[in-house]
Amino acid sequence: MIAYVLRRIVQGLIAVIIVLSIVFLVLNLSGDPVRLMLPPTASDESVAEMRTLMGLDRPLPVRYVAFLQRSAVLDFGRSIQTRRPAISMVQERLPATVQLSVTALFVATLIGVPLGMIAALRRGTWVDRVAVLTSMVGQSTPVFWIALLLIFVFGVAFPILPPSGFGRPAHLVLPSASIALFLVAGITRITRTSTIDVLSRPFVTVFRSRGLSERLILGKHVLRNAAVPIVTEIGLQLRFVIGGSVVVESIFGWPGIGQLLTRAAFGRDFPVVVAAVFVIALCIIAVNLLLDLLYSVIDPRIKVWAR
Amino acid sequence: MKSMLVQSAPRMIRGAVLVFVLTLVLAAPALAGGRAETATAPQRPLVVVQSAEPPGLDPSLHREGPTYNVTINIFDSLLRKTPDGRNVPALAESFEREGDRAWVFRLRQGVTFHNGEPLTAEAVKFSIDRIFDPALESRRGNDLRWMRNVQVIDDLTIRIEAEEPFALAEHYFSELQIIPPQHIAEVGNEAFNAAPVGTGPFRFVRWDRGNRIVLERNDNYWRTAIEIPELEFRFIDSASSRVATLLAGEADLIADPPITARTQIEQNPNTVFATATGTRVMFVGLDAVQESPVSDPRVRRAMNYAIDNDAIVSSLLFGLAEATTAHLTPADFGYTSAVSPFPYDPTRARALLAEAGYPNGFSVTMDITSGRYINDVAVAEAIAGYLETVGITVNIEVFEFGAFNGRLFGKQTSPMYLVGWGNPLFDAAYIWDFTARSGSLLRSIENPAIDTLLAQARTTTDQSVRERAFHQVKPLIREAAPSIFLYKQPVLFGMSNRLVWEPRSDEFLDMSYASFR
Repeated sequence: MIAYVLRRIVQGLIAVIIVLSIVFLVLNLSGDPVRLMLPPTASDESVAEMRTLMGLDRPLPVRYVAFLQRSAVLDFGRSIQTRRPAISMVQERLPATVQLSVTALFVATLIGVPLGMIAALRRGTWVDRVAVLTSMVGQSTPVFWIALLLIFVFGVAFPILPPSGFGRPAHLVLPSASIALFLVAGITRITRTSTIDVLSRPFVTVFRSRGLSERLILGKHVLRNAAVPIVTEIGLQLRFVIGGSVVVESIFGWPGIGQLLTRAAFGRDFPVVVAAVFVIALCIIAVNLLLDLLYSVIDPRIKVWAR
Repeated sequence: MKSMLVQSAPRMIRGAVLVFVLTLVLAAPALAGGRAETATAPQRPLVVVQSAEPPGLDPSLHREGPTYNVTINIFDSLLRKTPDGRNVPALAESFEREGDRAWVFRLRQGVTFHNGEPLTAEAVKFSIDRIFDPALESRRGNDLRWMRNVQVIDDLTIRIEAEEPFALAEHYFSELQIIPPQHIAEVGNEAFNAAPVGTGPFRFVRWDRGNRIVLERNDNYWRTAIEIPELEFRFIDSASSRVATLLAGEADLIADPPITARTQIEQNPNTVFATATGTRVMFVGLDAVQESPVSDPRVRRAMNYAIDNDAIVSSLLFGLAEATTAHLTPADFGYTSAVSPFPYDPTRARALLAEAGYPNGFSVTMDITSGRYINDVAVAEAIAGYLETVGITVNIEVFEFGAFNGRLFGKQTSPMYLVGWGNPLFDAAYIWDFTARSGSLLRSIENPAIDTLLAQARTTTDQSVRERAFHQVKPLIREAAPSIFLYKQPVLFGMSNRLVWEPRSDEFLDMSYASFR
């Protein structure tokens, strides 16, 4: 098992290096930060001077190697705009994003799993159709649209929640709901399919004929058997949570990594973009590894390390 | 071990659910409390919401618009710009000009920084020298490179010389924010950039990065009594969310609402829509340097005749913008009504195109950026539509602002580009230096007669000589048509009813004269 974990960590690191390389290349092709930094009155000489100062006059391969070396020791340089170390700017934004993502995932699971199970049990009835329809609408509506809709309904038309901001628990409701509504759709769908599949297995019929309570059958045996695809789905959704938080944080003025990343990308603040992408990639890889290990907890027959 | 984990899995889930529900229950009073707080309105600070967050608050390092909106409330300068654009004494009690290139400022007595440090001539000298300190690596030197020989004469007198006579010097004295040398020596550059200390109307309290900057009233402010006890700047990228925050009663002033949100803001009983003239001159830059049909001045004039600028202003800017003639409005120094704007005359446009050898028109590309200027995409489409009717096919290419800027300053734009250029000094020299001078940052025209007159105006401080030069050069610029001249873009604000405040036409959010109703 330890060998497996080590192998996965090495794989993860390679993935991180690939991600960093792509970001490095894309950023270097996308525009010149120097002109954005200097006032419009700046002369061509001072632009050239600044470019030398920042090392942007060196050839791309040289910069790439130097970049990877520094990344290895978590030195992503200082932000072009704020002059603070990029990695600490990302660090101070991490808690807000974790708070938002975890709440959204948690709420989505709490709603999606029961909804999916109910839909599966009442297959073909109106309950099922409503659940399927909701998940279809939820998954095909862009997050930013849901967010704006929620803002105008609960922030402006019926002002019971703050439409933006950070600090009080009330501020968390609308942003996390925007992401959760999208996630619920996927989780409901996969829970429904997976539960229907498990319900048709012989052991369910056996348990029922033995007179086990329906609650026990569903709550313990069916759910655990249906859990693996659900956990997989939640793991996959994590990418959307991060993607969604980039949008949602900008809309709600939420001081997380997504907001930082958007602003840094628009300002061509390369060091911050790289540091943010690095941290996000690391989180996704770590969570996926944890989920893989969780499979064998849910279903002891699965031994990921024996594959 | 493993089986124990398996058995406890449902229990763990149940535990997690319990924790979550408890959190919600515990949070409930806070949820309710949040609203109660806003109901007692006077308790809440004055909340200003803008899009961009300052990268730092040290004026030696930062003078970006969003930063200046905050620092103008924390710092003072030698002079101060009044809302109508005059430069009047501020930290300098008085000043006089020595010859045509030196100024002597006498500082106000008894002014102290927020930490108690007294304002001295040394502090003024420090505020200038620090910008050029190589260790600080400031990028602001460009603005002030014309300054030479900064001399402390006595504790409260300072003499500043310019490299050569410089007409716009006083504008820069109004923006040269004065910082406390002792305090900076104590706390260091990085700490000062994060928690500044000035002499201004508000003192810095805290900065929650990504969220807000909180300031409180400076009770000992030298200039005037400040009415607002607490001032909070918040930063929300999305324009619709800024509007929602205002409509929900959680903000008192929002910058740059979408022009389309005007009705919504006006119809809400608690909010008002406010505008100011602004400084941003909109135009379609025409690159006469690179070889294209646009390098022919007749074609450039034809384009100006082909556009109904007034219709664009009234329909796409809701009549809130002011049409320019050769980039100027009557508010700008150098404006003369002797030069009239291009009338809308498509027949004349077609004739000029035929004369230039394009009787059947041609096809050309226009670079634009989306969402940066008011209704920018719609304006670009309208321009393309008008040009189509005289036979010019315009292909619009939309760029993200950073990429657009890169092309603009790298002199790699298409022959046409829609851009807005701030003229914060309300002076013809400033805008024409970019749009009409040979070899300027923006590629446009190369015309020696225009260059000579502009150089004349730049190197004298005699306003009547400058004005004469501007009046002479304006018709030349109109003829040369370096741009399709459009309008001056207004600045838009949404305000709460309780706020008494008049937007400044230079767009800056100076809250020193704000009060609550």
